Amino acid sequence: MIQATNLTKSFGDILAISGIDLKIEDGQVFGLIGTNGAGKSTFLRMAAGILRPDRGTISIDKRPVFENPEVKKEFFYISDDVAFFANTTPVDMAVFFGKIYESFDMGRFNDLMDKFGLEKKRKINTFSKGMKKQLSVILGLCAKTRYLYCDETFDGLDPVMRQAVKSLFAGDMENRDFTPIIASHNLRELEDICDTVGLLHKGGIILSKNIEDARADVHKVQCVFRDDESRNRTFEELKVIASENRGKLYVLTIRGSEDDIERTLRAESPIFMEMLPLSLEEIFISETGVEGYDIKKIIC
Amino acid sequence: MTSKRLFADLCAENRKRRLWPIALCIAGNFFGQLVYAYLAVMRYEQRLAEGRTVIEDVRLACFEMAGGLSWQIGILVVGLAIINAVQGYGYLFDSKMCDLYGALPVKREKLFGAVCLNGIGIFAVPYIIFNVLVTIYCLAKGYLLVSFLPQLLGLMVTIISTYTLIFLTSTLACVMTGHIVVAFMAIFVFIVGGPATVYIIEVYKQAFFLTYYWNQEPTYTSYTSPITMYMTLFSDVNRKNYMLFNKALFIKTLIIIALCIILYLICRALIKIRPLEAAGRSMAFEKTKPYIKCAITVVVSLYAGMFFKSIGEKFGMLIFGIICGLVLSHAVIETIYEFDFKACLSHFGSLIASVVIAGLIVIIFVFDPLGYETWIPRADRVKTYAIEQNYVYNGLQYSDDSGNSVMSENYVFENMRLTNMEKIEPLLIAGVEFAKKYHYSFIFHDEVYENAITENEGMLYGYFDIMWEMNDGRKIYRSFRVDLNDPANKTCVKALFDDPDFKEGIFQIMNISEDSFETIKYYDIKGSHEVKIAKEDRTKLLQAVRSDIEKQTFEELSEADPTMLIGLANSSSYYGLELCNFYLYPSFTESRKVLEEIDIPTDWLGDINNINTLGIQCYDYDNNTYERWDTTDKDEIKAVLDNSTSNWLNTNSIWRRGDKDSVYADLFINGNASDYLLINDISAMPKELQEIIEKTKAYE
Repeated sequence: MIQATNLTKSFGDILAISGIDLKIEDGQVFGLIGTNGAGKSTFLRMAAGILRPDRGTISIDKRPVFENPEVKKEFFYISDDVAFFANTTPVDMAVFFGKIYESFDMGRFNDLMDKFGLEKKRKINTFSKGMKKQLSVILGLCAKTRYLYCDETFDGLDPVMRQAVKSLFAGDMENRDFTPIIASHNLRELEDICDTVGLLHKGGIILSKNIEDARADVHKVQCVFRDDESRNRTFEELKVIASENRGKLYVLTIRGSEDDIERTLRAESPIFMEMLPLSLEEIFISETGVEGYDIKKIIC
Repeated sequence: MTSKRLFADLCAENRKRRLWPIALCIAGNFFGQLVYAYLAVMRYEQRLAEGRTVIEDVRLACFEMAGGLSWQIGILVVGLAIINAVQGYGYLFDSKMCDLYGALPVKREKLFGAVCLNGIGIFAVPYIIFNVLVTIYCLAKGYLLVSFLPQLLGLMVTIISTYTLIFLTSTLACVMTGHIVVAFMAIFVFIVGGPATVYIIEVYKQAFFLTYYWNQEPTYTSYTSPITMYMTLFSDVNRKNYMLFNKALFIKTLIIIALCIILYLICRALIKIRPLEAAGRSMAFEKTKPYIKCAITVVVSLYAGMFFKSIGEKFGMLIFGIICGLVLSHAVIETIYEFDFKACLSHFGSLIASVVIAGLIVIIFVFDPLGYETWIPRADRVKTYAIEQNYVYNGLQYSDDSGNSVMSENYVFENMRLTNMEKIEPLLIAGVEFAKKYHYSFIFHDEVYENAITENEGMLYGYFDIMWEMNDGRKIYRSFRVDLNDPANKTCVKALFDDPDFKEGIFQIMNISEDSFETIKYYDIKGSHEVKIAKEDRTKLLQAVRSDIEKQTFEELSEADPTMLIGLANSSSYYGLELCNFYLYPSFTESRKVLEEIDIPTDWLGDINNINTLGIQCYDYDNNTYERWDTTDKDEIKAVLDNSTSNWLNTNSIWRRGDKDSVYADLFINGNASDYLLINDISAMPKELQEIIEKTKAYE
């Protein structure tokens, strides 16, 4: 488990991370969402032991990360602006990482390079941005570390590659102890891959929630009430987080279990009732609305 | 993976990133050592065949090449050390590379050590290989002996240690900064800052302290910069006894190695705490900024102050210059720190601190609260002392063991060993009183000081420089000015002159060997002449001169004129640069006898009857012309020569030059240019000559 306790980091007068408390459990895909300047990269760089926290701690299995090689062997960090040594080829980088990470799988590296169609002996500085990202993901996966930090890695990948990487992640999670932590500003991109999502804003964590739990806890219903009394009773009995209506057609976002909501609504015998799927964005809007954040300004 | 295996892998991977520096080191050493040695030996062999050099010179040259004591090795050492450090630690300036390295499961100091080891190795390995090849080549040619090998091995260690010192200094600059340009600036500051600070302090001492003695730079200067340490290594090698164990060089090498260890530990400690987010910024450690800025601005302001003072020659210009220097350097450094010109006047607090520090330094020099000008050591703390002066004897020439000309103070301070401080005490007190009296006049260019030393009013100012060798080994220098007409001072000078140790120190002829010279050079009215004399004559002459000098009294020195200037030289001495010389006085009877026996004249004037025509040429400064007067009249010739002194003999003693009006003129004998003459008594000259002197105002 990765745990951050009161994690704080400033760069001069700029407070990048402010007192974050966060737990990332093993065996799940953790998404770190936030706009530009929210502190995603700073958090990941502290988690990778690159930056020393000003206050607080960040640890893996209660062992501090900073300047701790034994702990650092547990993760591989892919930065948003990927760095490779000058005039090197993918094979050179693989050999380098192979010497640093004992568990590096060269065979898998060759295999994945072939599958992704990347030339192993071509100079990396001739690769496109997307190809460099692919290479960094391949190297990260072949290192076979417990954790893989991906800082806006998916942003540079085309949809096909994105899917391929997602299935690789899924495969690795099934076969070994593997926890990817993915930072992105695109909530929709992470929707179908992340198990847990943490929302960063202005250096602080607004929300950290398991998506399934979030989905199970909030539902969207489209209905037409018989009359106003029926509608008012429904609003009193259920925890309606958000409500929109076009004439008599109401779209309600309600917190509670699906069974309870359905039972309560059917008791009012509505003219029309339909459960609608909730997107991750809608879940976050509803969740953060409770906290008073105008989340629409934050997520895209 | 074991720690050692990881370290070895890091080193191997790092070497892959350093292909071009490795190639540069190999190429540099190949051309700088092997090719240069081949070409140099070829050139020396040609000169040997043509008789233009001797075998000893070739051996010395080969020793210097094999020992790395050449300018091109110097350039290689300094240049490659800086390049390898900046290239190796260049990742600290790139945030992407910092992220890459920072996330690796490798301790920072381990990575630092791998880069450091490679940085030293990629120079050391090719240097050693090519150095061995050069040594083998010179051995095969017969210009090096096997017995030199231990010395050469020691020099190899010295050169590599010096490279390491410069490399680690550059590494420190890289660790403390976050941008490659700022890193190069920091390297410049580390290399130049120390000597520059020492130099400007010495300049201020010279400008503010009358008793400051300039010629000897502080011995600690060589330790203020790795480059100065390297440069002094060359002077530590004794080119006459290069085959012998060199203790000074050995000690300095040990000091360099110790400094390397200290620097390495400092850099290693700093790299552990260096924030990687500093990549791209000017400085890595924010807290060091004000201190570094203060140090640089204060030194720069002192230079600016002295620059303006040298133009304006006023104390006010010094203050103006210091303020300008402080403000400008503060602005420049702040701009560099923030990479933003708008920040040039931020952090006013550190500017104020710099002003205070610079102000305190100026106050120390102006008011001398530390008592520099008035300091005289306690007699019980002085081991020996030496005096270099312009009033007893002047115009003597000196040489070192290799026969090279040296300045009089260098010889005197090296060889004179006086111990009785009581003899010099009155002069020191007089010198201190003079300094105290005119200290402020000197600083503020008051006319009082200028008038005191130029208008005289019956005073006869002479200066003397003194070196005290203290019991703890330190050598302290001062320069004093005293009135030599003061009876107490004159008594003191007499007592010094009568001290055999004084004469031993001032006359090199007291210690020279008859084997070190072959010829006598003398200067008479017809010009300079050179005579080779046999060894037994040389021995007799030395004995005679030494005896005459020992017997010479101070009264004769201050009353009599020397009659001849005689120099001792060998065949390779350049004209006018003898090994040493001496003045022949009327009382030097033993010397005169020996010289006459070997047909060397003892009188500059010689037989006046041999002079058929005499010409005097005076220079008119106003009209930029010469006025010449010639005569064949024997009485006129005699009148001129009886009341004149050869310039060769004039520079002897301050007492002889007294307060008479003197005129310098060119002398022509029988139509040939002869000498530069000092006409002592204008009124005794023929009328026509007096008119010319008056017309050209040559007496002014």
